[in-house]
Amino acid sequence: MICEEVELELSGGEPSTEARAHLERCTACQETARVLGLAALPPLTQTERLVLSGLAATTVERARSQRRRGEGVRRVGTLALAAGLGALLASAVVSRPAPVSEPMVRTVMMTAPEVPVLDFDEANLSDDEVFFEVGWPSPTEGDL
Amino acid sequence: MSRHQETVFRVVRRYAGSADEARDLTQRAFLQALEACERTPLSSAVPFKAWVLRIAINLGKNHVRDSVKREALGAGEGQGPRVALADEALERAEQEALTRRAVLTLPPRQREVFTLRIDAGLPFAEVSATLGITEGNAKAHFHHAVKRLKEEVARLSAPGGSHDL
Ligand SMILES: [Zn+2]
Repeated sequence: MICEEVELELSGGEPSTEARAHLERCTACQETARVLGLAALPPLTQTERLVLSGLAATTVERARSQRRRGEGVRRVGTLALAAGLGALLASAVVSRPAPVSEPMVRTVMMTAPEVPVLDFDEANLSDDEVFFEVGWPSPTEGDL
Repeated sequence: MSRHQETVFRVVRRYAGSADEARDLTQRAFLQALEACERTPLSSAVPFKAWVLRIAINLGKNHVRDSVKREALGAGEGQGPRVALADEALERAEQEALTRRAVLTLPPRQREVFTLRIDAGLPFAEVSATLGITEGNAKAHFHHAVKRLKEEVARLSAPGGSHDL
C-alpha cells in the first residue's frame, strides 16, 4: 500500500488493517493523520443539533411564502419545486411516527445553476487559482 | 431530519461563525435551489442534492469573503492581546483553529473537494458528481489539499512561523 492510498483511507471511515499497518511505520502518513485531525470540524454540538431539528419546518414555511410571491408568474419547473418541497416536508415531519421514505429529490434532474464566480483574492484567501490541472502522483490512478 | 439538509449544514458550518449563521446559510441554499427549480426547465443531469450543495458552497464562500471585509473594516477593534501558549491543550486548540482557517484559503477546487469529503463525509464518487469532475480528479485535488495543509501546518509550527493567515 502506498501513502496516497492510505491518505484516501484516512479521509473517512475506518482504515483497513493494511492502512493501519502502513500508518504505524510511515511518519509521513502519521503527519497526514495528524493534520486531517486538526483540520476536521468537531462533532455537531447540542446547539447545532437543535438548530438542525427546527430547520426543515422554517425552510418549508419560507419556501411556501416565497412561492406564493411568485405564484402566477412561474409555471415551468413546478414538478421540480414540488419534489424539492416534498423533501423538505418529509424532513419537517421526520420526528413524527409516520415512516418517511427517501426524499424524491434524488430523481430530480435539472440544469446546473448559474452561481457567481467569487473572487477570493480580494479577501486574500487564496493565491493559487489553478485547478483542474493537477497531477496525481499515484501510478494506480490513471484518469487525469 | 433530511439527510440533504444535514449534509448541507455540515458543509456550511465550515464557513459559518455560529450555529445560527450555519442555519441561515443552509436555509438560503435550499430556498435558492428551490427558486432555481421553478425558473429552470428540467433538462440536464445535475441532481437536486448536487445543485443545493454547490449553491451552499458558494454562499459559504461569499459569507467568508464578507466576514473578512467586515473584519478588515473593524480592524483593531475587539481584538484582545494574543494569549501566550500555556500548555499542550491550548497549543492544540490554536493549531486546530489555524488549520481549519487554512482550509478556507485552499484553492477553490481543493477546498470544495476537501470540505465535501471531510465535512459532509461524501464518498469520492459523490464528491466528483457534485462538482462535475472525475473521481480521479477529485482524489487528486484532495491529495493536493492535504499536501498544502501539511505544508501550512509545518510552516506555522516552525519557530517564528507566522500565525496570521
Ligand atoms: Zn505513508
